[in-house]
Amino acid sequence: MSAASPPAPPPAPPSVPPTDATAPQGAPMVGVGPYDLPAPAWQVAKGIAKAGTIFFFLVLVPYVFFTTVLIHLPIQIGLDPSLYLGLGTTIAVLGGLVTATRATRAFGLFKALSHGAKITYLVVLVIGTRATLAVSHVSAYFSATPLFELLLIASVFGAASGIVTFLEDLKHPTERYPFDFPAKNVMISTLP
Amino acid sequence: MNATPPVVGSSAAGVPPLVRRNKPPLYRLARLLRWSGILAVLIVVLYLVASIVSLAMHPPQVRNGAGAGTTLQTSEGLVTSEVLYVWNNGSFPMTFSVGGVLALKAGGLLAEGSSSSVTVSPGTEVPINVHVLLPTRTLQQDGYLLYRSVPTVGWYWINGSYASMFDFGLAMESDQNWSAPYQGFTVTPGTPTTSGGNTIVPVRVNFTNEASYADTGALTLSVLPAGGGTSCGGGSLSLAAAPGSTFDQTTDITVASGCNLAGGQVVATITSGAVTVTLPPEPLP
Repeated sequence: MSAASPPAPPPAPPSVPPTDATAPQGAPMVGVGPYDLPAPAWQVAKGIAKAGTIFFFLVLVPYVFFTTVLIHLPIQIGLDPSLYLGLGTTIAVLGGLVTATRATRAFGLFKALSHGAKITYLVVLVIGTRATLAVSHVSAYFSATPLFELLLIASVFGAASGIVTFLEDLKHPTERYPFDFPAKNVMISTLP
Repeated sequence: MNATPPVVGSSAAGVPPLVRRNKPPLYRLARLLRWSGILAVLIVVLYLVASIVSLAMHPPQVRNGAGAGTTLQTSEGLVTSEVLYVWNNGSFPMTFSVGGVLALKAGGLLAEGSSSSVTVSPGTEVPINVHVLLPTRTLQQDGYLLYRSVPTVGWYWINGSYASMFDFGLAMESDQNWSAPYQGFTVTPGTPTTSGGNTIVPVRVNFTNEASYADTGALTLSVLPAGGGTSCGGGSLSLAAAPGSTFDQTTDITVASGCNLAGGQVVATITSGAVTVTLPPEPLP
C-alpha cells in the first residue's frame, strides 16, 4: 500500500499591480486587477514552438516541394523560390517573437511587424505568382490572385490590431494584462 | 499606493472573489480588429473549401452547339463560327472567354477571333459564341490562298475564373492546313478552231474545293492577242462546287474576227465574295 501523496501546494497569489491613483473611488477601475504573468521561459518555449511550426509549413515544405517535385515538372511558378523562403523565415521568426513577448511591451510591435511581413508575402504572391505548365503544344496557367487579395484584408486587420496594442502598451503598460493573463482564483465580471 | 479592484462577491467558503472591471477602449479596439481578421480568414477559408468541394462534385460540362465550325463567306471575309455551351451545375459562378488565331507557317496572320467574357451563373447553361474572321483584305492581298492550300498553325485558348477566386487558362497550338476553296485551279486553253467563220478557243477549267464551305464564285476569261492590248473575246463561268468536290468544265470563247491569236494568252479572274483575284496568264497553244 502506497503512502498518501502530499497535498498540492496552494496556488500562487495573483499579482496585484499598482492601480491608477487618480481613479475616483467606487468607479470601475479600468485595466486594474490581478493577473498571472506566464513564466518568461514558458513564453519563449511557446514562441520557439510557434516559429518552428510556421517555419515547417512556410519554408521547409515549399523548399522540399521546389527542390524535389517541382524541379522535375514542366511547371514555372513565376517567382524566385528564395523570395518565398526568405519571407517565410521572416514570418516564422516574427511569429515566434510575438508569442515569446506576449507579456511585454514589445508584443504589439512584433505583432504589427509580423502581420506586415505577411502582407508583404501576400503582395508578392498577388503580384507575381502564376503557375504555368507547358507541355509540347499545350500550355496552361493557374493563379489564385483574388484569394491572396482577400487574405490581405485579414492581415491588414491583424497589423492594425498590433499597432493599437503597441499604443496601448505605450500608454498603459499593464492595462491589458488582467484580460490577457487573468488570475486563476478570481472571477471576473465585465458587466457594467 | 496599492489598491485592489472593486470586489463584488466575497471569497468566503472557497468561492473566488468576483472582480468587476471594464475592458479599456484600446484593448477593445485591438480585440475587435484581431477578431475581424480572424473572421475574414475564416470566411475566406470556408468559401475556398466550399468552392473546391463544389467543383469536385459538380464539374462544369462543355458541349459543342449545333452548326459549330460552319464557315460563311461574308462581305467582311470568311467567318468561322463556333458555339460552345457551358453548363455550370455547381454552386459558384464561372467566367469564360475563348479565342483563336490562325497564322501562316511562313509568317503572317491569317485569321483571328475571340468571344466576349461570359459569366455562367450556378445552375445555368450559357452559349459562348466565337467568330474567327479571315478578312477580305487578307484574301485580297494573298490571293493565292484562294487556289493553293498551305500549312498554317493555329493557337486556341480558353481563359476563365472560378468562384471569383481562381484564374486559369489553357492554350493549345496545332498544325493545320489552309484548305483552299479553288485548290489547284488550272486554266488550260485548247487549240483554237475555226468554224463557220468564227474562231473558237476552248478553255478547260478545273480545281478541287478543299474548303469546308461551298464555292459560289465566278470566273471571267479573256483572250488577249500577243503583246496584250484589246481583248479578242471573253467568257464567264460559274464556279459552283460543293465542299470536297472536283470542278472540271470546258467553256468555249468566241474570238472576234481579225484578231491575231499567235502568241496570245488567256487571262482568268476569279471573283469569290468580295475578293477578286487575277491569275497569271496562260499562253495559247
